Amino acid sequence: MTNNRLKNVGGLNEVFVCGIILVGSMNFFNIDFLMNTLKFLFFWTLTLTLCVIIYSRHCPSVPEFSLNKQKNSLDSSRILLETRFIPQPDFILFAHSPTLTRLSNGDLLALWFAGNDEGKPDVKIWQSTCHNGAWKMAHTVVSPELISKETKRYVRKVGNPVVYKSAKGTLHLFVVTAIGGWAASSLNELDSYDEGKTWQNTRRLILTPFFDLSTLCRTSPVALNDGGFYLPVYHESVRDYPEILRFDSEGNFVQQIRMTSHNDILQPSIVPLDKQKAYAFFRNNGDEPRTLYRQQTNNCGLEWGELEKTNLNNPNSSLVVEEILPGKFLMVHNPDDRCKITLSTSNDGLKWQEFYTLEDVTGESFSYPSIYVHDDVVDILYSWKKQKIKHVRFNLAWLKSKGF
Amino acid sequence: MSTMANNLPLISVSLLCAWLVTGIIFHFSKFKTMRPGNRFIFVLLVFALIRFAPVYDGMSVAHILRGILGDLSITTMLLFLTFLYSEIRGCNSCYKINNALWLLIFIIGLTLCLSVFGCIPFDIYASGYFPKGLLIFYLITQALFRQLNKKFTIFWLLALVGYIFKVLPSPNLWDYLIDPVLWLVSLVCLIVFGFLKIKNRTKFLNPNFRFKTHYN
Repeated sequence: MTNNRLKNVGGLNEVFVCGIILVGSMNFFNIDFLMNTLKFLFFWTLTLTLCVIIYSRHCPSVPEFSLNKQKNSLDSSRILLETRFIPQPDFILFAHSPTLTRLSNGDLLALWFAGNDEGKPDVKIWQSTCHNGAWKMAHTVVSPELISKETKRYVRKVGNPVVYKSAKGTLHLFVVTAIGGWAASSLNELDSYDEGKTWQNTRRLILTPFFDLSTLCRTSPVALNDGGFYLPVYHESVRDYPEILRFDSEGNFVQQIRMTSHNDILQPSIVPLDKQKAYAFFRNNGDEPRTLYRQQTNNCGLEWGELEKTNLNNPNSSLVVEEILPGKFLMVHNPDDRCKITLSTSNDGLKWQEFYTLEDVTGESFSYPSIYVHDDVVDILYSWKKQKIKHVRFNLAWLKSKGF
Repeated sequence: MSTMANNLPLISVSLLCAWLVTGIIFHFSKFKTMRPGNRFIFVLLVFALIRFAPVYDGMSVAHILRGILGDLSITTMLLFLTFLYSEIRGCNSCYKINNALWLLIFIIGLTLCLSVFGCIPFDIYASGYFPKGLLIFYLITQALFRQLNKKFTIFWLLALVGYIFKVLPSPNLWDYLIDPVLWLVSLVCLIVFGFLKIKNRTKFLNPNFRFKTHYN
C-alpha cells in the first residue's frame, strides 16, 4: 500500500518535471507562437475530419424507374364508361385540385382542397374513398391549424394535395401550405400507415434557401426501383420552373433536381417509358401562344434534355399524361380554355390528337385532372366548375371503341 | 424528425427576436444602466415570452416568425447568441464583424438567391444535398473567414457539426451555413457602412468643415 502511494507520488513528480520542461521550452520557443500553431493545427484537423466524415457518407443509388405497372392489353370486351360526383357537404362552395390513388383492397382514395373559396383560411384538405363504384361522403383530414400545430410554424392556408402509395404500402400525402399568396408556399408531407384513416408524422420539406418559399406540387409521383419515388414539383416566384424531389423508400426527402430553368414552365407530368427513359409534359404559364412542351430524360431524371414543342397549346392549365399501352399515351387536358376538358392520344408524345371531350360549357371551368390506371381501368378526377370533384371511369374497351 | 430538429429553429428565431427587442429597450431607455445580471434575467424573460407565450390561435411569436422566416441556420443562431451576450454584457463592441466578411456572406447569399429564382441556369442550392463538391467551397471560405474573423470560423465549423448530427430539419448543408436573415443582415450592414462612408466623405469635402480638437 505504502509502496503504491510512493509510486504514485513518483509518477506525479515526473508529470510535474515534464510540465516544467514543457513550459520552459514553450518560453524558449515563444509561447504565443506555439499556442497559435497548436490552435491552427487543431482547428484545421477538426475541420478536415468533419469534411471527411461528410464526404464518406453514403450517397443514394443511381435511380431507375419502376415499371411494375401492368402493361395492359385490349382484351376486355365489356365497354365501361361511368361518371359520378364525389359527395360533399352542402356548405362547400369551392372544390379543386383532386388527387387519387388505389388502396390495397382495390378502393380508390381521393383528396382535394375545398372550402368557401380558394386561399381562404377555412379551406381544408378533404378525403373520400370509392368502394365498388360508390363514393363515401367526404370528410376533412388536414387543416391549416393541424399543420401549424404539427410543424410548429404558422400556416394560413392549404392547397394542392398529392397522394402517393409507396411500394411498402405507406401512403404519403403532400400538401402545399402558404402564409400569403401561392408564391409564398411551402411543401409539407404526412404519412398514413392505415390506408388513409389517420395521417401523421407531419413535416415541412425545406426546399429553397430563400425563406423556404415557393415550392408547390400538383402532379402524381412516379415510382423508383429502390422503393423510393420522384415527386414532380415547381417553383413559382420571380421565375417559374419545374423540379423533381427524390424520396427514399421510407418517404424521406433525399434530393432535389431542377428539370430546366426555362421560365413559365410548371406542374410537370412525368411518364416513365423504361428504367432510364421518361417524358415530362408541362403547364405553360407564359405569354400567348402557350405551347405545350415535352421534355425527355435518358438517365432516370437526373438530367433532362431541351424542351420540345408539341402540336398542342396549353392555356395555362394543369394536365396529366399516362402511357396506357406500350407507346400509346393518353393526355387529359384543357386544349384552348378551361371551359373544355378533353382526352388526347399520341404515339410519340409530340403529335397529339383529341379524341373525346369530357366537358365543354362556355364560361365554366373544368380543370386540374388527376389520373390513375390499374388493370384495364382508367380513373380520372377533375375539378368540376371549381365546385365539385367529378369522377370519370372507363376501360380500355371503351378507349378502343373511340379509336384509341 | 427529432425533437431537436423541431425545437432548435424555434430557439433560433426566439434568439433573433429577443436580440431585436432587448436591443431597442436597452438602447433607448433607462435600462441602459442596468447591471449584466439583471440584463440577463430580463433577456431570459423576453426570450421565454417570445418562445412560449401564446399570442395568436395558441401559437407563440416564435411559431409565427418561424412560419414567415423559415428555419435559421446554425451560423445565424450562434451569431445572434453572441450578439445577445454582448447586449447582456452591455458592450456593443464585444463582437464585431468586419465589412469584408459581411461582403463575403452577402455574395454567397446573393448567388444562392439568384440561383433559386432561376436567374442562374444551374441549381447551386442542390449541391448541398450530397455536398462533396460543396466541401471544397466550404474549406476555401473557411480559410478566408479565418483571415477575416476567427470567431466566425467557429460558427462555420459548428454548422458543419450540426449538419453531421442533423440538428435542423433540412438535409441540405446550405441550410446549416447560411439563411436569408443572415444574408439580409449582411446587406443592411454593408448599406449602413456605405452610407456612413459617403456621409463622412461629403463632410470632409465641405469647405466649411473643420476638424474638431478636443482638449482635456
